[in-house]
Amino acid sequence: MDDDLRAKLDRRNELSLRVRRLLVEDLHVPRELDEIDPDTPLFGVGLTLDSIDAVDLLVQLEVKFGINIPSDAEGRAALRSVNCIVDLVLAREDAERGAA
Amino acid sequence: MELPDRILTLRRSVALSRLPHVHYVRLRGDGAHELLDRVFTRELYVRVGQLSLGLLLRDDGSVLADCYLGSDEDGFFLLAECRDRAELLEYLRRHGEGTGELEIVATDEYALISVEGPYAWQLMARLGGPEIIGLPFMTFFHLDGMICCRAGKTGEYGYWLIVPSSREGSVWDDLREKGRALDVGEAGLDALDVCALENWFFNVRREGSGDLTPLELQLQWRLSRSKAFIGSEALVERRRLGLRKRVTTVAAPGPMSLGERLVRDGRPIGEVVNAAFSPARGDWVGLALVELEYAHPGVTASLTGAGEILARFISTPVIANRSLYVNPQVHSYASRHEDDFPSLVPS
Amino acid sequence: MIRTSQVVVTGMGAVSALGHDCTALQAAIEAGRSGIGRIRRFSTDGFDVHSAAEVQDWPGACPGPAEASDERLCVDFSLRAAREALDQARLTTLPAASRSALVFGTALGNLQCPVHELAEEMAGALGLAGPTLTVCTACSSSSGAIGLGRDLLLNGEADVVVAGGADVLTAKVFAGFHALGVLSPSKCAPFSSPFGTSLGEGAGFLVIERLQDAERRGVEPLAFLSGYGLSGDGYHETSPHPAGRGVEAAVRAALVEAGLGAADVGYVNAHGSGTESNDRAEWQGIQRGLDGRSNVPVSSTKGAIGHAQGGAGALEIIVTILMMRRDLLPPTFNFIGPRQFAPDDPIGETRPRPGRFDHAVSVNAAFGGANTAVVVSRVPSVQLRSRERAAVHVLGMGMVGRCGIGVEAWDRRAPGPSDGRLASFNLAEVSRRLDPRGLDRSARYLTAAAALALGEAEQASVVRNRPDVGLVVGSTRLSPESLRDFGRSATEFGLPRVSAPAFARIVLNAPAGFCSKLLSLRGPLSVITVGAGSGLAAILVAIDLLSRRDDVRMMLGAAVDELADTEDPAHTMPAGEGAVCVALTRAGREAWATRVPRVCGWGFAGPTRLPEAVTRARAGDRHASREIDAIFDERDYAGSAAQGWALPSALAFVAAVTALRRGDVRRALVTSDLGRSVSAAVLLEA
Repeated sequence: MDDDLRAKLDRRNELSLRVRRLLVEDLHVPRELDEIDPDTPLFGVGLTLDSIDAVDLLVQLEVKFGINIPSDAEGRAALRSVNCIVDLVLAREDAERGAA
Repeated sequence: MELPDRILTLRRSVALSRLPHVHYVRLRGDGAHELLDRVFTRELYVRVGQLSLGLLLRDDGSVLADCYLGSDEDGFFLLAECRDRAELLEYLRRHGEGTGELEIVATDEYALISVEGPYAWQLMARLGGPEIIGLPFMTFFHLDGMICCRAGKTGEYGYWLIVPSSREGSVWDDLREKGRALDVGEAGLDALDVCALENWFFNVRREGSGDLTPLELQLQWRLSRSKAFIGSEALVERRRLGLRKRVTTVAAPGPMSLGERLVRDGRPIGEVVNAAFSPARGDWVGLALVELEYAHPGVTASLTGAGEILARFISTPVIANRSLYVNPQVHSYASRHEDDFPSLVPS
Repeated sequence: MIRTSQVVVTGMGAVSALGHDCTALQAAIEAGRSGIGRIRRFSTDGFDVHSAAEVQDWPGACPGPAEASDERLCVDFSLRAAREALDQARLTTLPAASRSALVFGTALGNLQCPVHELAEEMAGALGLAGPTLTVCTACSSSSGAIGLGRDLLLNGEADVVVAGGADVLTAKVFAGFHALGVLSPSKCAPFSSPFGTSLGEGAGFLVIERLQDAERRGVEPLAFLSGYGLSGDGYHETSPHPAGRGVEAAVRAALVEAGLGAADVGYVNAHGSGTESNDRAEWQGIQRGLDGRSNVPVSSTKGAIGHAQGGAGALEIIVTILMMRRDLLPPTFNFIGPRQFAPDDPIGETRPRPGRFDHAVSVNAAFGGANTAVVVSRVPSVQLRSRERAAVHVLGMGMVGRCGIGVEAWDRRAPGPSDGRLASFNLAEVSRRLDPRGLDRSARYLTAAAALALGEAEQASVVRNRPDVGLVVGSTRLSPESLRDFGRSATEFGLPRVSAPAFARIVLNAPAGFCSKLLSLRGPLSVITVGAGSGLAAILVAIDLLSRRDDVRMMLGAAVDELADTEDPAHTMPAGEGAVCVALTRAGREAWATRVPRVCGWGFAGPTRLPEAVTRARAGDRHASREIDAIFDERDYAGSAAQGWALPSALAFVAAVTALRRGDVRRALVTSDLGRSVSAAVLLEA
C-alpha cells in the first residue's frame, strides 16, 4: 500500500473511531466500539436510532466535528452509517484544503 | 417488463412482488420462547405488534436464515429467507427438542405479497385506510384476515402482506387495480435482490450463502451482547483469532461477476460475492469480501475478469431513495414533480 | 354503590395569552384574535423559533428586577383563575373548608421545589382544606385533574372541587420542544400548514359540584361535566400512537361514562397541537371513537392560546363551555387549508361559527401516551342506573427495593444487602423480554415492579396486549438521573441545542410512559403526586378507577422513588429507593375471589384529617362492625425522613396484603397522613 493511501485510510480509521465513540458515549448506543460495523445503518434497522436521537446526533456532529447538517431529508440521507458520516467529514476537510 | 424497468418502477412509484422465497413459520406454546432464545441472534425484545430483524446461525457461525421475528397474541412468527426450507424446519425442530410445549407450523396456506416503493403507503392506504400510513417501520398489524408488516429490504416504504393462499389472487388483483393511478408495476425476486444490494440489505442467497459469519458480513448489530445462541461460540472464537476480511460495497463501470477477484498493488485483496447492474445508477454495484486493511470507501482495485476494469469501494446505500423525500402527510404520487427529487445517485 | 349524581360546572376562571379572565378570553376568540406573538419572557437567540402565546401584562412575567420565578408565576396564574371560578360559583367564602378539594394538573416538574407544594400553597391561599391532589401527565394534566375532581364528588369525598391546572412558559421547556423539532416556525396551525405547535401558558380552573348542591345553593350550572375517559397509548415516550389508538379508547371510555352515543356529540375540541405526528393520528382516533363519524365539527384551540401544556386541557374545556353557552363553535385559528388527512370539518373560519350543540368532547394527548377525553354538556346526559361497585381484589404485587427483587425479599427492619441504593439494578433480572434502552433508573424500577405484579396476577407472559389494564403511579419528583443528564446537556451545549431524548424524560410521567409502553398497558394512565403518601394515593386512585369502570379489567397502582448519586440513602430515605406495584382486579363470584385479599373501602380526606379518611374507608365496608386486626401506617416505613417519598405508604399497603395473605391478620387498615396534601386510608380483608 502506498503512503498516500495509507495516510488517507489512517485518517478514515481515526474518524470512524471518533464517530463510533460519539454514538456510544453521547447517543447511548448500547454497543462496544468494535461491534459497530462501518456500514451498519444508524436509523430504522441497525442501531435503531430514532427521530429524536437524530437531533442529538446533528448537535454532536456540529460540536465535535464542526459539520453542519440540515435536519431535513438531505441531512437524513447523509447520516445513514458511520462510513457516510466519515465521508462527510472528509469531504469538508477536502473542501477546506481546496479553499486554502 | 425488463428487469431495469421493474427496478425503476419500484424506485419511482410502487411495485408488487410475490415472495415465495420467504417462509412464514408460526411458533406456539411455552417452548417457543425457549427455542427462539436459543437460536435467534438478538434479544427477544419484541412487543406485540413489533418485528425484529435477526439471524439464525449454524454451529459454525455461518448464516442459515435471515428472518423477521414477530410477536402477537398467538405467539411468535418468523418470516425467514434461507436456501432450503427443509433445512430451516429441521433446524427449528432439532433445537426445539427439550423445550416446553412447542408447535412449529409452516404451511402453504399463506402467501406473501410485498408492496414497495416511495408511494407504497398510498396504495396501502387505498387498500386498508389512512391508518396504515402511520404504521412505523418494523411493526405489523392485522388487517382484514391478513397480517400487514411494515418491512422490506429495498430502502423504500415497504409492506409485506401475509395473505391466506386462497385470497392471494384476489388481493393481488385488488392491489393492481387500486394502484393503477400510481403506475403500479411488478418487481419480482430478481428486482428485489438488486434493490437489497443497492441498499445494503443482507442477502442470504448471495453473500450469505457461503460460510461467512455475521462478523465478515457487517451484521454485528444483529447479535445479542447478553446471551448465548447457536453459533455464538464460533463467533467468539473467530473474534479471538481476529477478523481478516470484511464485506464492502463496490462500484464499477463494467460488469462484475461472482467470484471475480479484485487486485491491488499486484496482489488479490478481495473477491466479489454479490453483483448486479444498477439501472438507477447506470453502473455495476456489488459486494466484495476484502482484506480488512483495504475495506474502506475510496480504495480502488482492478477487476481481473473481462478486461481491466477499475472498481471502487464506496459507502452504502449507493442510491438516494426517494422514500426519504416523500412525506405521506404532504406528498402524493399525483402531485409529484420529478424536479423535487435529487438524483437517485448520491453525490 | 356508585352514586348517580350529575356533576356540574358552576364557575370558571382562565388566565391565558388572551387575557386574565374568561371574559377577555371569550371576547378574543369571538374576535378571531390569536395570542401567539414574539417571546418576551426569555431570549430566543440561537433558536429557530421565536414565538409563543405568553400571558401579557402580568407583573413579574418579563425579565427585570421584579421578575418572578416559574413557581411564583404558576401559583399566581392559578390563584387568579381559581378565584375567578370561585367568585362565579358564589363560593367566595367556602361553607365547609374540609369538604372543599383541589385537584391541580401541571406539566411542570423541573422546579426548585416538589410540584405538589405549588398545589398545597394554592389550597392554603384559597382555604381549601379537603384533599389536594396533583396530576402530572404532561399535556393532559389538567383535563385529567378535572376528571379526578369529578370522581371525588361522586365518591362523596368532597362537596366542592376546584379542578384544573396551570403551566408557565419556561426557557427549558421551550428548548425541549424546540429540540424535538415540534415547534411551528410561525403560528400553530392545527390540521393545516405549516406543521408544528406554538407553546402557551396560563391557568384554567373550574368549580365543580354535584347538581343537587348547586341547586340547593341557587347557583345556575354553566355546564354538565358528563363524563371523562383516560387511556394510555402504550406506544412511545413522545410520539402518539400513529393510528390514534389511545385517543379512540379515551373517547369511548368518556362516552360510556357519560351514557352517550357517538351521534350525541355535536362538537369535538381536539388536542390539535399542530404537530406532524399528532393531528392526523388524533383525528383518526377521534373518528373511530365516534364510530366513524367523519363529519363531526372538530377544532383546536392551540392556534389561539398556544399549547398551554399542563393548563391546556382545562383552558380548552373552558373555551368549549364559553362557546357552547353562546351557541357558537370555536374555530381552528390560523387555518389556511387542510393538510392531508385533516378532518372533513375543522371549522377553518376566522370567527366562531354559529351553531348549537348539546354535548362536546374535549380531547388531550400527552407525552408518555397519557390521553384524556372529557364530555361537557348543555343538558344532562342520560341518567345512568345506580349499580354496585365492583369488588376490588389485590391479585399481584411486585417490588424492587434495597432488599432485592420481589415483595418476599422485603424486610422493613433488615438493612438489606445494599445501603438503600439500587444503582446497578438490571431489568433483565426481572424479564429478559423488556428492552431497557433509554430508561432512567425510575423507569427501570417502575417497569420491573409492574412486570412482577402483572406476572403474579396474570400467570402469563409479560409480552401481550393489555388494552384493559391501566396504571396509576405515585411519585414525588423527577428522576435525578434524567434531571442530571438534561442539566449537563443544557450546560454543555446550551439550551438551543439541548438533548431531545433527555428532555423527553424530564416530565414526572416519563417513567409511567416507559412502563406502559414496555408492558403494552393501554387502560387508564395517570400520575399522582402529593408528596409523602403519593404511593398510597396512586393505589387509591387505581382502586377507584377499577371499581367504577366496567371496561377496565385490571389496574396497577405503583410508587417509585429514586436517589440522586449525591444523596445519602441512610438518612434521606430509610425505605431505600425502588418501586412497588400492586395489581388490582375486579371480581364477581369467582372462586378465586375468596382466596385473595379484598379492598373493603377507601377514602381521601384533607391533610391531617386521617380520622375522616378512615371513616370514609369504613363507610364503604359491608361488614363495618367487624374488628380491624392491624393498622399499617406510612410512618412505620418513612422513618424520620424530612422529605416526602412515594414508597413508604405503598410499602404499608404491601405489608398489609402480605400479612393478610399469610393469615396473620383478617382485616387491616392502611393509613397515610404524613403529607400536606391528603390523608388516605384503605381497609383490606383477607
